[in-house]
Order: sequence, then C-alpha cells, then structure tokens
Amino acid sequence: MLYIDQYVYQNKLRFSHPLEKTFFAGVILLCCVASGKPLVHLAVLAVMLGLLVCVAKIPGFLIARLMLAPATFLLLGGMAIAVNVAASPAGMAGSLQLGPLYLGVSGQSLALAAVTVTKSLGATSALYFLVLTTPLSELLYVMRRLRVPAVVIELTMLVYRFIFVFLETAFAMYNAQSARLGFVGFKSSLNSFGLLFANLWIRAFFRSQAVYNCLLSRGFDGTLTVLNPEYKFSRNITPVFTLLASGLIILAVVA
Amino acid sequence: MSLRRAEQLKQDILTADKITFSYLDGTTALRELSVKIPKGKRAAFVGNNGAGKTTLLLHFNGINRPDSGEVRYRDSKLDYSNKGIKELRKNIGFVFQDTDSQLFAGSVYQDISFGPLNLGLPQAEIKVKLERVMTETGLHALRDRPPHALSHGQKKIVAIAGVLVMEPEVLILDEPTAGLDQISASRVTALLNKLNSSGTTIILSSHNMDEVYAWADLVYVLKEGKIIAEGRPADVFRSQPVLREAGLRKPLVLELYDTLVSNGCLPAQGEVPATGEALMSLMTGTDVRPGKREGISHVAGV
Repeated sequence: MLYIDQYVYQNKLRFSHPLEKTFFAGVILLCCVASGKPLVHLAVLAVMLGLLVCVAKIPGFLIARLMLAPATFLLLGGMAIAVNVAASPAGMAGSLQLGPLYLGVSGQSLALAAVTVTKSLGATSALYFLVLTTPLSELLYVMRRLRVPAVVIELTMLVYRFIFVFLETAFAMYNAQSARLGFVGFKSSLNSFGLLFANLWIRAFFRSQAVYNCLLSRGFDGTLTVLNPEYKFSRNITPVFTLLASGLIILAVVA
Repeated sequence: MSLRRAEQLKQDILTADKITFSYLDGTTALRELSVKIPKGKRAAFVGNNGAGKTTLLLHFNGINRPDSGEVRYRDSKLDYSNKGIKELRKNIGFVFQDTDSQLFAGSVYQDISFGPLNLGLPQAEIKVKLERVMTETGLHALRDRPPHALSHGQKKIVAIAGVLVMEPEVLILDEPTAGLDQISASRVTALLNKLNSSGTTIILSSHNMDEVYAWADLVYVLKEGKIIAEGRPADVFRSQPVLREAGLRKPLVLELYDTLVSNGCLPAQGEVPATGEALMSLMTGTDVRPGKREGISHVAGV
C-alpha cells in the first residue's frame, strides 16, 4: 500500500502555517489557471515541484509516480485536442488521408493542446504541493477557518479516517483469501473478489454502527467538533512564499 | 472517617435489576440479570464469547436499553431522555474493544478533544485538560499523529485518554488488554490502577483469568446472559462447579498456591496471594529447603 500520508507527516514544510500554505497554493493555482501562456504554466510546475523536492524533501520518485497518472491522462487528452478530423486538408499544417476523411493538426489546435496540457499539469502540481505538505487534520482546520459548511468538514474527516480502516480490512480479507488459494485462476479470482466486496460492505455496515455507538458514548450530539492545535507563521518560509508568488504573478502579467 | 463517607463507600454506583435484553434478530443476550457494582471498586466481568459481557456493559452507559427490568446509576433509574443520557455519559466513560471504531479524527490531539468539546466546556479549560491527560497517559510525542500511524497498544491508550479527559466517575472498558503485547497490556493495567486509586470505579471485561485474578476486587461470572457467580476473585475462582459451568480456567497463581498448601509445602495464609510476585515472596520467605530455590525462580515467569 502506498501511504502518501507518511511522507506528508515527515515533510520539511509540515510546521509552516497551514493557512499560508493554502493561500500560497491558491494564489499560484489561480495564477496558473488565469494565464494562457504555457511559459507561466511551466514556471508554476517547476517552482512547485522544486519546492516539493528541494524544500519539503519529498522523494522525487514519489512525485514522479504521482505526476504520472495525470500526465498520462493529459497526454492522451492533448492528442485528442491537437488532432482534427475534416473532409478536406485545408488549414492543416500536416495531415493523413483515411478514405474520404483527413486526420491532421493545425497550428491553432497544437497551441490549444499545449496550453491545456501545461495548464493542467501546473494546476495539478499546485494542488500536490498543498496536499503533500499539509496533513489532512490541518486542511480541516483551514476549511474551518474558510467557513466551509460543517457537514463537509465532518464528512472529509470521517472519509479520511475510514479509508485507512476500509483498506486495512480489505487487504486483510484479500490476504486471507489468497492464503486459501482464492486468486489462483481467473474464475476463482472473480469469485473471491465478489465475496470480498460483498463482505466488505457488510463489515462497513457493522463498523458504522460501532462507530456511532462509540461517538454516542463520548457525548456525540450531531456535530463532530474537534480542537485544533495552534499554528505559527514561520519567519523563514513566509518570505519565500511571498517572493515566489509575486514572481509568478509578475511573470503571468508580463509574459 | 465520617459516617457519611463510610456510607458513600458502601454505595452501589451501578445496579442492574432483572434486566432482559434481546437483539433485533431475536437472540436473547441477557436474561433477568441482576448485578450491583460498588463505588470505587475494580470490577471484572468474565465469561465465554457470547455470554453477554459487552451487551451488559453497554447497558451501563445507556447505549443498550433493557426490554424489561431497570438499570440504576447512584440509586436513580437511568433517564433515557437526551439530557439524561448526556449527563450519564459524562459520568460513565466507555472504552470500546475495537479502537478502530473509537478513533475517528485526523490526529491524536483532535481525537482526545472530541469528548470535552461535546461537554460544552470553554476552550481554555479544554486545552488544560488535554495537556493534563496527555501527560498522564504519556501521549505528548504522538499528539499530531493520525490514528492509522499508531500501534494497537498506542491506539488503546489514545482511546482511554479520549474518555479519561471527560473525567468520568466510572470507567468501563470492554476487553482492554485483548490483543495487546505484554508491555502495552501492563501499561494499560498500570493506568487503570492509578485511576482507581484516585477514586474512579473501574469495570472491565476480560478473558485473561490470571490478569483478572491479580487485578480485580470483585469478579462476576456470566453465562448465557446470567450472572452465575460473583464475589472476591479467590472465592469465585476456587469454586470448581462455577469454573466448569462457565468454561473458565483457574488462575495459575491460585492453583499453585492451593496445591502448595494442600501438599503442606506452604502454611495457609490469611490473605491469599494475588500475584506471582506475592506468592514468590511467600515461598522464598518460608521455604526451608534452599535446594528448591531453582524450582522457585522458575515461578517468576508466572
């Protein structure tokens, strides 16, 4: 299991104020999305990945793995944007005839594809920056400060916690099944997976009742409020964030 | 000691009077069960799986409501209104067996803060309480960790801390040491002893007879939803019919002591030794045959 969480808790930006990290990531994200220049997007990508690897000391392989998923998706999507299908090759920079139709790319469609891909990558890196440097308990604090509705915060908290319980249960069942040769063939794999899934739902149901009883025992009255520790703004990081953010904004405006 | 204080000590803090309880699927878990838990004691419920231990314990904080009969807290019948239940659960803390169901927040600190926030205490006061309970349970180093990054033993301590912080008068724990390693288990037991000596009534269920025998003031044996025996551990665990009926094993220290006494190796004592160490010191103090020392030191493993 890939516990991204472990890296989040060990990252070197962990103790900078969650609000400033959120604000920084938000400004950069806005800057990236508002700008139509691939140069700006690539600058955002470089700054965010650089911060993650060099300052937060998150291992490069983890970031590479995390970026790979959206990158693959974006490359395929980008190709779909770049390539047009038309009845005539007029206006295309290069084309390929397939029967009565022409598959081709134009300068315009290439530029659009480039902007879409770089913009999405840049925006993703900004979000990864926030997610990889700020543990969820602190993001919940930010959500509360930003006056996100309590229901959303409570659901986020419960989903976060029970994803791990759910995964642990699922893996335990999977191991128990494979120990009894549940996944040796295609047919048995399908069968075992079906059983695993069905059982997981039953477990989840009983678990939810148990959780509810536990909450009741501790005086639950409909709201899941918890207390957050106090966070401090750090002297080293705040100027760095300010500098980088203003640099990127200037680049977005000027470029 | 004033008469009033003596009276208070004798008081039963929790009473179940002929309670019957069935689950929705029709299984009857408790059958006209009656029990009294004296204030300030360490009470242990034992019995096999399915005997009704957890079901009974959940009656004491109002999660389960009896079909017939009544549960009393300090001589007054439980008030199942929202307000009454809230007040009851403030006074009666419950630590569940499955810590993964109990811990829900993103960090240890946040999880422990849940109870006192529900009590509606001011934040400043809650913060003081949080620091105090984290010192008491030794959790400072883990305060920012998420529950899934903790070991089972650590989770158990966090679960207990989350209840302790509400400063309950009675602490109920469902199999608190089940699945814990020796060190974690003795840490939990030591914490419970500390709480008990400062006046908290402690009720737990357990499958470990050696542990119960060494720890409890009172033992209650459950079988098929009924109490079949209760009393001091030495008395209850000496009754062969009770042990046989409930399917329990006699605690090792008691077994050893009784065997030694009946074989004339040890004079009968006024007070039966509760722990392996107590038995050891009795033996090393009285044993006239130093040649047997080697055999004695082996008992240390008990």
